[in-house]
Amino acid sequence: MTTFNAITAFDSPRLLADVGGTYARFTLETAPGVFERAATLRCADHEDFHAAVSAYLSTLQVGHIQHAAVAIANPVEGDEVRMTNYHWQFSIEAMREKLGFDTLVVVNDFTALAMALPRLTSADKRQVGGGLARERSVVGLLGSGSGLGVSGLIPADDGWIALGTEGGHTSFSPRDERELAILNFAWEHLPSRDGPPPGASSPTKGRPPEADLGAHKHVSFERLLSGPGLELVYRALAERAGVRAASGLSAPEITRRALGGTDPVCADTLDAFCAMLGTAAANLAVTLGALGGIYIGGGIVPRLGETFDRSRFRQRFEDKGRFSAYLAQIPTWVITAESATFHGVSAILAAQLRNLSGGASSAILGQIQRVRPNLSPAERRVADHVLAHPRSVLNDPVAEIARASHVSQPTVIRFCRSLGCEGLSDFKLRLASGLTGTVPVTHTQVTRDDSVLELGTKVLGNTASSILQVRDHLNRDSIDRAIALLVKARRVDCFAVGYYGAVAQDAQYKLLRLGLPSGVYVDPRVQAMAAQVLGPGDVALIISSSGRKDELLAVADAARERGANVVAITASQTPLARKADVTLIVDHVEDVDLHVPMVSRILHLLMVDIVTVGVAMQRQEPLTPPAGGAYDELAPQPRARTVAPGVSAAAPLANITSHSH
Amino acid sequence: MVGDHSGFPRLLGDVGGTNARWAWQAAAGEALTHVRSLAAGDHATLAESIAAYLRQEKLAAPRDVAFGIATAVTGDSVRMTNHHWSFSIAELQARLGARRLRVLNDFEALAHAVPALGPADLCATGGGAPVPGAGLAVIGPGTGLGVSGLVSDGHGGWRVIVGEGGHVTLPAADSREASLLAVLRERFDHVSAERALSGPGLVNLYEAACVLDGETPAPLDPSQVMSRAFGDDTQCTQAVTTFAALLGNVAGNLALTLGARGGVFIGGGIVPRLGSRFAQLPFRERFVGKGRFRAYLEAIPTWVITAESPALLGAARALDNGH
Repeated sequence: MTTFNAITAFDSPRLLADVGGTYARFTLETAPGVFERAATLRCADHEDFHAAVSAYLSTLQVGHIQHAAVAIANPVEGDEVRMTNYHWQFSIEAMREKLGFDTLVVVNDFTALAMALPRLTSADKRQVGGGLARERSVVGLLGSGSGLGVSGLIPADDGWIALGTEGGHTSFSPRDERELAILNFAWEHLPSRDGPPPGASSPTKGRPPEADLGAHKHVSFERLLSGPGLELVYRALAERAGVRAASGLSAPEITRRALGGTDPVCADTLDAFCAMLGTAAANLAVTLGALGGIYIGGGIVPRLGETFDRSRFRQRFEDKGRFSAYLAQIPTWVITAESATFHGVSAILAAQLRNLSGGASSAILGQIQRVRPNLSPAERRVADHVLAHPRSVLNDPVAEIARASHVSQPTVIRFCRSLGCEGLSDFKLRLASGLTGTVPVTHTQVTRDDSVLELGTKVLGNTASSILQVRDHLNRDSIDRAIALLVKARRVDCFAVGYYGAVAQDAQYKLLRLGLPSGVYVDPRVQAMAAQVLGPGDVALIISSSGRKDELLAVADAARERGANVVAITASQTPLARKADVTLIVDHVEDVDLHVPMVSRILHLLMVDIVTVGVAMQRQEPLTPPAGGAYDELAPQPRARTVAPGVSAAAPLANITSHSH
Repeated sequence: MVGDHSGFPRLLGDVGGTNARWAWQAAAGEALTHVRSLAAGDHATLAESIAAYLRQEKLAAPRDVAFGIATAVTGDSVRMTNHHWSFSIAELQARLGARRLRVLNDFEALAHAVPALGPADLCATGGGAPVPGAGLAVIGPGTGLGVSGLVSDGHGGWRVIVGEGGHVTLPAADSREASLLAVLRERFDHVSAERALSGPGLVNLYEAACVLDGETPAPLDPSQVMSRAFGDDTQCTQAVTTFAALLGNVAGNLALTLGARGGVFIGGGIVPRLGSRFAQLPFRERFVGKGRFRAYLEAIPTWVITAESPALLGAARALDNGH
């Protein structure tokens, strides 16, 4: 890995940032895992994120930065980033444009740190106590700093799933008298959010207890296991010890005095802190079944050095009564590498860029991911193997792919056919062939805060990327067969329901212009009747995004029973696709429960265009004039017929498309 | 589509402390049939229970077998905590002549079932709409406290998270609970959530309430605590109310830890027996009562699983998912 990394420097360095409540750290990644020119800036010295980035970049002599990624101490959802502990806030898309980057990825800092965990070496971490990590098991992460961050990684076939957790906000569980005193102090002194202090309404005997239970205040682990938490615990324990708390003692000062052994209350505070962190870590470990181990990051613990190793953390971690043995086997580590978060951000950015790059291989991998749930269990094993090892599949013979996927060789071939390929060599060709003229578009979420311009850009971008996907997946064989059926058809009837009626009408219009008798049926009862009068030589053209509409499946059945052929424009691996003689595959997932179909409708229209162009080129007769007679060029150019379908589309299609009403 | 990989017919099971429930699935997509419960005490081993079931129902040998079992499954050797059955997975598979045998922890099986449960199998207890693709959490007080979770793998599949989540340290949300916790700590030292949120936990809560109120506890079992609640018995009412409040607190912690914005499902034997009275208890109130995260939790739906034997369905789905 290292030697490989060292020689493949990026075309332009990637900017990585780790923004906390107090400091923003920046670095440049010049090659995978190689970080240079790191710098730490105080957030308070800069008006906003843009100013901080500009200040960092102005100190460096670097050219254009294409890609950047930011880890931020905040939940990240949607385009708007707002920091809870600080005043910076921005739209990711607006910030990307303002900074002139091609890519700007913003992730939660704990998600980033979690993604770094599988890459940490023994030099980057220090084990506290015993235990042995089980391979490929769940791992947990806690980080105490300005807040208490929690994350987890779940192993999946092709990597790890980062858990989107808010585990720092779970309710604090006191383990002993001292912690009960801390909890009581917190109840009294924290600002009330959930009602009056609980002590105010002790239940009296015989009174319904519900009245009491409503009045409680939430004290989360984060309230105690963070910088502000250390200050609160210090005040609680000073009160408990009956000494006057030094006013305004900051968390770093408490830690310093505790480590220096000069202040018994500070020492008591740090002791309680480490013990409570042990409880939180063990709660996380049992909840996730984190047999892969628990990591401790954040700003506080790594600075405690060996004092933490000698603290009550590990003892408390294992102190779960009957389940102590379960916890004793789970290792706990302190993350010592400063650059750990950068490793994670770098991994997330790299993954994002892989998804964005429109290579044909990544397009077919995307298609495999989409159809995977609909594959048979055996074919799914082949899919998982291809997704995990696309490069080796390229070179492996069928026997080897079958062996590695634990399936039979015919299953590998069936898998290729399920993806619309003729066989393994066709599949490998699509996996290997690059895509020319890649367009940097991907599927992005349109949000309520988008300006009209952003909205237009996103809708166009989403449509364009989907069209490119369809282009990558075009199956020449099925298009040829669909065209052949339509060319010799006696009559073509188009069937669709709902929004797709518009597509069916478009198809009918084009077919009639080509001189083919054609009807369109969008009402289920009329569809049933129309299907009953089809016969041999007729074609039912069924258009359905889901491929699961009962009424259309019935049309397909009736048509086939009566000897007609069925051509379907629908998603792969659907009941309709299985019933049709020829399926033109459009795999596009749209949440039609929430939105009207947009992109899929356009993709269906494109499919209609592709086959009608093919039919136009093969039919000898001239186009039929429309009723109004509003065009003058009758015959398609003879030259166009010799060109492959879809390539010289413009010439014959012009006859159809250039005369709209 | 299934081709040469037909794993049917299937034998599916849900093996608990007192009963083993078995069912049959003849082919892919078909409903479960021949559902029958056999008392665990009637058979010396689990294999004998299976043999008796197949004999009684006049069924041939199954090709694939999967069952959930109320114990931790960490290797080949499985031992039930509450009774005498223990077995090796490999030996059982050989004895059954099954092509595949999946032995799951009972809450792992339940987690597999959850995405397939419909409105008839569930009773809603509040919250908004589930976030599609977000994680799900399962918590169930019964003989013990079972906990599991599901996260989407991003490709349309699910990964089950199963640990020993019933053994988190019990939190306290008010001074009364803190006092109950202090009483329980004298007895158990470490007070896990299971010490309160289970059948025996209900009794523990009742007895602790008696200690706090200076009453002598009666020798009650969990059903008696439940049936005496809502009547004149203050401590039983306290116990059931505190049970629901703590369950809300712990379920809220679980939802936060797993980011379970797809919903929290309550299984196990106890909550369904509280029936409609559960809605009047402070479960939901405590579930959402987490300060700044109240809005986050208010959006998360919570359901009680009322389906008869969801673990059977879960076992079938574990085989479908291939893991």
